[in-house]
Amino acid sequence: MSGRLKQFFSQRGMRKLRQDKMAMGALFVIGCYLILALFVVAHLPSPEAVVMRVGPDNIPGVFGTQTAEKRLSDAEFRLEALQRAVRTNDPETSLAEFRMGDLRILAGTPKAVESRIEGGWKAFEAVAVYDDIEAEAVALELLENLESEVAALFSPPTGFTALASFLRLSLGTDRQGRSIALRAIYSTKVAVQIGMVAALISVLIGTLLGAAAGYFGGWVDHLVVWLYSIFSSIPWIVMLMVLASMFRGSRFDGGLIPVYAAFCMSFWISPCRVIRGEVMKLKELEYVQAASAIGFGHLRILLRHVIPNTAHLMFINFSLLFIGAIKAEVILSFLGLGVKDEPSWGVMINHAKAEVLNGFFWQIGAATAFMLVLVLAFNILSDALQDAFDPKHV
Amino acid sequence: MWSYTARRLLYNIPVYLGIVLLLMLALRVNDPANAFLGKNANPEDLLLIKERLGLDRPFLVQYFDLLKSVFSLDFGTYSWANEGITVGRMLRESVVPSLSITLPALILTSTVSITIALISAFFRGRRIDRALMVLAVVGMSVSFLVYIVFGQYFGAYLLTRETGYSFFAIGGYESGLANWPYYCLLPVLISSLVAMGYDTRFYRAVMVEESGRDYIVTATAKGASKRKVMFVHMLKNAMIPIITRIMTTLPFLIMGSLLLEVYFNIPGMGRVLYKAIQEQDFPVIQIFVAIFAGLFILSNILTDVLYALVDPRVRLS
Amino acid sequence: MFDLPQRTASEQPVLSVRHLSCSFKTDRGEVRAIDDVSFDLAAGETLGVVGESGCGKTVTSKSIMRLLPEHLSFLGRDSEVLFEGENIAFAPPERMREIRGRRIAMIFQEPMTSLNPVFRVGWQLCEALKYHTELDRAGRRARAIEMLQLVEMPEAERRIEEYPHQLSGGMRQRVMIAMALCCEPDVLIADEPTTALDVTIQAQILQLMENLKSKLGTAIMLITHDLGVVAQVCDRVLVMYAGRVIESGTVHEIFHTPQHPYTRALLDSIPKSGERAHKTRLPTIPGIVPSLFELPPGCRFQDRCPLAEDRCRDREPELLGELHGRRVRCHLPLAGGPR
Ligand SMILES: Nc1ncnc2c1ncn2[C@@H]1O[C@H](COP(=O)(O)OP(=O)(O)OP(=O)(O)O)[C@@H](O)[C@H]1O
Ligand SMILES: [Mg+2]
Repeated sequence: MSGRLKQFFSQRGMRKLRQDKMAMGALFVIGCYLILALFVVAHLPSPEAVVMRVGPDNIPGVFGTQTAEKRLSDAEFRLEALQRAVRTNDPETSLAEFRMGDLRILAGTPKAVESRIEGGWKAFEAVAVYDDIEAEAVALELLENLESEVAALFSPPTGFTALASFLRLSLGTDRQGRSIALRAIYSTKVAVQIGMVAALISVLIGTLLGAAAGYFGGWVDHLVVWLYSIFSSIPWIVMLMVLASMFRGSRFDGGLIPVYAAFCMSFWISPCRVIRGEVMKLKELEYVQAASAIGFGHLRILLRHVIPNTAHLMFINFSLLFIGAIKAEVILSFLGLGVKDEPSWGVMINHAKAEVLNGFFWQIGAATAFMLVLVLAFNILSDALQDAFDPKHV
Repeated sequence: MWSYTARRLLYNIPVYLGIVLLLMLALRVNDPANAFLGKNANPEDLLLIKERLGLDRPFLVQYFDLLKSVFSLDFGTYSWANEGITVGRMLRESVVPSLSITLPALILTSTVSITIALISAFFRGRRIDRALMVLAVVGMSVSFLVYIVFGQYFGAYLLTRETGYSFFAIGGYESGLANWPYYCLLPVLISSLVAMGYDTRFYRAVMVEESGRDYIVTATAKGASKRKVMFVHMLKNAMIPIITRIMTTLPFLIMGSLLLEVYFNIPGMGRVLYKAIQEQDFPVIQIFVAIFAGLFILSNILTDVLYALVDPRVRLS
Repeated sequence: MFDLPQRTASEQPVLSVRHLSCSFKTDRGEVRAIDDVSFDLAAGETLGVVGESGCGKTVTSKSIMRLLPEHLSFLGRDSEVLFEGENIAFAPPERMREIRGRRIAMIFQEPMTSLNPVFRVGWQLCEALKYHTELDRAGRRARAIEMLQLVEMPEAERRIEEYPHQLSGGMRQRVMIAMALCCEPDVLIADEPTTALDVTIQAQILQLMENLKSKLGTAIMLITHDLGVVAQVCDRVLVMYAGRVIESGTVHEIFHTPQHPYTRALLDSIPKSGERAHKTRLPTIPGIVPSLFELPPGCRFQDRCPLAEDRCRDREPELLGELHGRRVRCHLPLAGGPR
């Protein structure tokens, strides 16, 4: 098998692919996403980090200018958080353990901290009396005063921490004050996971069934064709709804298993079709005929001579189905049938519906951009694969 | 021709029987009555509701029952969630709203993307071709949902705010042709925009493939203009894959209009099914899915027949 | 060797090709499929073009009619295709439309794929008439039937209502010929019109073209693999090798005193029994044609040439001789050709 794969990669198609700059760029981008997903697995293993509040709701990202209102509520948010920490039964430890993102509080006794928080609140009230802060210079000055006062409560972030907290707010926050950047990055993992699993299983099932149908013909072929006629007659979204109701109340309810199941059930069809056709052609080839004349078993011929020669079709289909899965996930999340306990691009876009009506585009923009780049890369790669290996394909 | 059509019909019957079988099995994995009434339902209600739908009868009897009602188009079963309303009535009421989105979207998408594909193929390799194709790839890399969200924001919200006149509804539906543009045009436009990237690329590929054929050279050698060659010789040949494509986008459109219907609150078949699933309205789910699959198979048969109409090689064999 | 009919050609050429070269853009870079091809074709004359598969015969004829895909191919800058004195190598599309089908027509190599599968035969026959004549519908139909009868298509009236897939290969080729001839072109380019047909039909079709030539005075460029056919119907011969003209002259000259070793090898490998000669396909010569991507410096035939010496490997020979007379591209021509 490995020898055959090596042969595959040294083929003319592969050479053509390697010369294709766009395709190589796309591969690079896909690689970056994979690394990002691995990074998420290593450093953000649970979704908790991304459900945490990091600031007031709907603040725009770094590239937008903050309104005075948001700045004010940011200060308020920080003061409140500190106050909650001080007002616990054991302020010593809760202050020591206090983390706001990567910010930690400046050393000091609870008493001292509390008095400084009081000072902060005074400054806050001084600003809050103004209706329209931006219109009056005095108010703006007071606001700056407040901000420096609040900032003084925290030890200034340095090095990596500074970078991390910058990153955290770089794309703003959603309606619950959660970091959009973090959520978008975390969603990369979800997307890659769904894409990988769904595409891989579908291609495997499709290849096995398609190769068997094409190779053996007869009733096996009839059966497979009948099966894929059935499955392709139910739109996957409908299939998913049925599955969702099937899994309801079971152990898998709300998890990714129904999602995978629905995707695989409808995605295996296209690789199966293509590979069935290709195997029918391959079967007639001399060396396959020769192999069977020599008396090799069917299984061996299939695994060693037939299926490896459909590798290019498997790659093309994998790439196409990966796109399909990522895009389908978004639609599912919108219908409330997809990912539930984690953020995903679909969940983010779904949440952003209401924000868009208020003119806040950061969340939908971030999710769309993350998704666009990945899907675009896969689209370009699929095209290049098709060009290189299957130029006759329409 | 008629015997051909009849053969296609016959061929698809076992497929449909399989679909219904699978579907009914899948829907019975979780006891539907239990799911509908929740965990604390009292046993009498359960029995009652089961009896009413005949869920207590042997599976085969239920199977033939469902088949019978699909083939005779008689859906007298009552919905569980909506007291006193038959599934047949829900179906009748939701067909028109669904069609008023799906059909115009199908026509619009096909005409526009075939036109763009023709332009692209006509100027093959030139800058306009490349620009259109880049646009198509980018367009198909954006999620459906993003189109919907932004479509609603710009079309229904921003446009109204800026012009002071409401061109499109934010959502909802009212019957009547006069109301169509207000409620349905925006979803139709969005739906077409989404499908455009895929379709344009596909149609262009078909045309590029056809334009490399020998008979194209023959036509040129006879003195036909490039336009004649493309619009007469090539297009008629390209019709074969184009028809297949249009037909195979039907399920996509059903799904697409499901999303649009849910988002824009249009009481079409997709939304009815969606709500039925949320409410565990078993009779509705069962019949609607059976109908979706039936429609799909019908569209397949129609494809084959149209195919034969266009291609003399199929028709005459 | 053969019974060679003597024919005379009129003085003024209808078609003069000068320095025609054509390149393709491919994955592996540009490749020049034909290079510096020049020849004349006089009215009423038949020019045979011979050469091994892939030597550029079809590309030459399609270049003349500008039928190669625009985005993949281009003509060399100094190419000239003079049709009645007018250079059409870079003529605008409108001008080409007037010429194609009406003045220069072409019969293609593959009759099976060259007809449009979804239009009736009659419609396709009438198409050129629609573009180039004033005939009305009925007139075009009558003319189409007449043309089909001319090419001896059985049941012409019925056949024009049929689709190409209902016709046999020979019938399709007849349709192609009828299509090419229906506007009575001045030049007919026939690209292996008989390759796809069996021998008896081949003879019929050649006879047919012969008749048409004498009746209409059409100049014919006949591309073929079959040297027997060349001997039968051609006046002059152009021998091509790897995209180049390597020898040209009258049929008599080429067949009796071949000067290029390649031409010689071609002729030598024909079985000598005279009556079977017309069935002979282009014979095989040991060795292979060099790839257009890896042309050797020097003569393109050097690897297969029994006479090759050092200068053949260093420098490519010029095509020496007169354009209208004898030409050969060889450092060591046989039979005392120009050195
Ligand atoms: N579209 C194309 N792209 C690249 N190369 C081409 C193309 N068409 C033809 N060629 C090359 O041009 C050369 C000449 O081809 P051509 O078709 O003229 O051969 P031919 O003499 O007609 O052969 P045959 O007798 O087999 O018909 C070949 O080497 C071929 O590979
Ligand atoms: Mg040829």
